[in-house]
Amino acid sequence: MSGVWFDHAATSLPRRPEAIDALNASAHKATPGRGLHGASRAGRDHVEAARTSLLRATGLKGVVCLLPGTTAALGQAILGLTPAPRAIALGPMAHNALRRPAHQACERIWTLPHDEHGHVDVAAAAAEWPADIDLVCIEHASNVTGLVQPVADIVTVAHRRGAKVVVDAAQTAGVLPAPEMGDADLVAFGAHKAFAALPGVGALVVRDPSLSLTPRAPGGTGFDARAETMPAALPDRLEAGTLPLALIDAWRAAAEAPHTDRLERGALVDVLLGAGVDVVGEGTLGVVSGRVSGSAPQEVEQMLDEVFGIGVRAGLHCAPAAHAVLGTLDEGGLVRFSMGWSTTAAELDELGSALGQLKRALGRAA
Amino acid sequence: MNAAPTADALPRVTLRKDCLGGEKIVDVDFGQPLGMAHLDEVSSAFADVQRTILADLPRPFFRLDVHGRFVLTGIIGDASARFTVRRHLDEDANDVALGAARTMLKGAGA
Repeated sequence: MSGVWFDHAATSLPRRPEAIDALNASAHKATPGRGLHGASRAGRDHVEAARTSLLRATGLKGVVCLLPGTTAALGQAILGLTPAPRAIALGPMAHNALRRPAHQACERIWTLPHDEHGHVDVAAAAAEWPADIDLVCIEHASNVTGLVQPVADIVTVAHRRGAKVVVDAAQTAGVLPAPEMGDADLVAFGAHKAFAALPGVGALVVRDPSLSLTPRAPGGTGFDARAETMPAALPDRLEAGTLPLALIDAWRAAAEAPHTDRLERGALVDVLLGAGVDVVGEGTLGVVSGRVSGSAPQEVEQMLDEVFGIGVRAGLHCAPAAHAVLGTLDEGGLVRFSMGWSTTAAELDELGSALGQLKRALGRAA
Repeated sequence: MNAAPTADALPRVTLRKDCLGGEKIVDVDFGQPLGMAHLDEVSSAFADVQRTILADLPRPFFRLDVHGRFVLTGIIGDASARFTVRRHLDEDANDVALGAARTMLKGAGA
């Protein structure tokens, strides 16, 4: 395993110690909401406390529905919305977790107008808005370049035109304040990136609990067993099966853990530019992608990992739309470097040193 | 103590996944440290091979581009290496990688 981690955009390592402690403490706890014994009731109390903690940590308002991850939450939001949308406005830098459900939900997809970096042009969007857009699916931030979209403004435009808005907040929940997402109708995010808890659990925050959502994965709920269908009310309507209490407790502990100051994006960009990396795109989060001339992205990833023990991610990052905007689709994508809660200045120095050695070695070999 | 792998078990594929544009990544365990002799076998067995050795790195990195077939990358001294098999061969990616790996082992006196 890579000793130095610059792939926090994929998953944050190490996990927060508070999350691991809570995971271990809860591993032997009873399934919440199954039965009336004290153990089950205690589990249910933990889950409800976690919902409260997540709203507090993110600043979002609404009902927290716990699902297996951000991808499941986005799929539930987009494919569960009823009636199905006639047309969808899609963010230009959308991750496949947003893009694929959108394409599955309806044939008519309109990409929001944007500049060369993928930043949505809200004025152009308002002027060109097709009349049949019922749903906007927008990434709050690009997982390739760290670019942050003007989601609050997009929500304002969408709502004026009667469209709902789903936000992919995988890269931003717990990092950027909630007002940046405005009154978005559905916001999806997970436990294992910015929160540095564990994969396997995510949240869909539904602002208006009366929103009509068809459950994508109906099943047992632990109550009202005779009913043929899932309960009408959120969150139970979307939460079938056994909730992963240990993961939820771990997430809550991470959300309640003391805030840690993160290194600014500029520090990472400076290191990369200083090492001769060609940075591509613009952004504000600590997620930066680029090229190392003389070497394919996958080979840079392999060298950083096998020679230096540094973990980065090369390729399309499950976001071919973003690479199409950046013009990097046909060259094999880019190498992505992403910081997280635990990234230190010393690790940045180590990355810079490794990249510098790589560049010099490639230069000599050329 | 586990028994050492038999000669028949090696080389073996340890990872196979899609890369970009349909190219397949096939990681192969050779069961022995790879050296220049193994790389020489690739240059002998295939036409049009471009070899790059980044010898100045803390762990020397090699890249052999067998044009039209695969790119072989790895660390001198490691027992495994990565084949990135070109798209038109992707259905036979494992066979391409293992075939080349056997050639490397045989010629280097495995």
